[in-house]
Amino acid sequence: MTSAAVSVDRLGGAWSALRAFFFDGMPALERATEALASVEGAVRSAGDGDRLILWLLGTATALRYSRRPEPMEVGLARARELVNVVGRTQDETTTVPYRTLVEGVYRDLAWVVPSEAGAYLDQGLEYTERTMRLAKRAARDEWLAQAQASRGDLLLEYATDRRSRRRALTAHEDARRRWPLRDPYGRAQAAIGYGGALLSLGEATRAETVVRETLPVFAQHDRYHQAAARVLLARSLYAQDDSDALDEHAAALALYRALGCRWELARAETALG
Amino acid sequence: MRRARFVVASLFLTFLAATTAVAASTEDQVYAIARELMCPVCAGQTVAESNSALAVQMRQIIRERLQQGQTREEIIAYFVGQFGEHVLATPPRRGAGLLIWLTLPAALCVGLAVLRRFVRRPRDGARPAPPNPTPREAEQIARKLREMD
Repeated sequence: MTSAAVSVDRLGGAWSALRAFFFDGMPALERATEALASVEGAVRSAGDGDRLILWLLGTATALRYSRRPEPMEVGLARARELVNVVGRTQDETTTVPYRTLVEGVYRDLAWVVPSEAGAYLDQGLEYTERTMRLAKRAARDEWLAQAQASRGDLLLEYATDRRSRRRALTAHEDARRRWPLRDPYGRAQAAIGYGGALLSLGEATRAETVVRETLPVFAQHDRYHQAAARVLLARSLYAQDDSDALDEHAAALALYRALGCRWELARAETALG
Repeated sequence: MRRARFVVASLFLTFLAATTAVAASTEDQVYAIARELMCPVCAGQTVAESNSALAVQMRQIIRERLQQGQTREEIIAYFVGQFGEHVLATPPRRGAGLLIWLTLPAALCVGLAVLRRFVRRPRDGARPAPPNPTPREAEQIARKLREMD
């Protein structure tokens, strides 16, 4: 077996492990991260732009979910490198989906490093300005949807008053209108942010409806996002004084525990205040 | 002069229509191939359906490779090399994939056989109707009923 074949298998294995993370949890993420790290040299020296892009995308995504500041900073650097590589080798407007990955890492870093949250959110929001311009220039609904949802997430984290929360909701509503129906999984992931924005404005019933729609989408393949959706559902029910909130909360905690996602578990434990 | 303008306009429109047709044809091919590939990070969606960054990139790779003149088979083989055979929306008809292909028709045949047997055999609850009473039995029944009254 040639070394090229070995590296191809490892990259494929890394993607399988990354996919498995969303159902099996942290051991799969560790496998993905190790496999991606082991092929870095081969991928970078091969001179295959497509493989480099796939590797950067996988590495940035895997490190993002580590929920540890240092690997996440490396993930941010990889995501920015990805944007540069795609911008250099393709049209700059095609960087929109990768720019939203960079923004997502900024948002997550603001969660994981609360002492630096302001700085990360500032950088993330500044980054969204160009993303929005590029998405409008590309005039593709699916990219505008991604750009708006990502901006909505950052605006919501940054929001301090009702007016700024309303801006976040408006961005999410626009994203939802534009999100292609052929992509129920992506739509469901974005719906978690949308539901959060609704809840922040006291619209608990609408948030409940939105988040309930996502549960069948995640049920079979994605326990990670299912847990996030159940946390939001618990918060929505709690805001309506519905005692089912406690059951949903317990279900979400059990999922995070089963996945071995300790950071998410700790965050979810305080979700009901 | 007017005729020259008409000719130029006609040529321009013909060129525009041809360019649009080629672009549309390439996009159709991109999505046709994308429908044969599963998005490696999405929940049961094909690359054609997903809006994830990875699916977007995979569609871009398909587009580039079609423009380079690669065939559908070559492009699909490239993705199998990157992600393994589970990237295929339809399992290959060999190895474990062949087992799936054979299992489905076999399961269908067994299902049909069971259904046929089930339909032919009378259900436990559906007993045949009792025969009509003889004149003597009918008279006995009538008498019993009169006594009950």
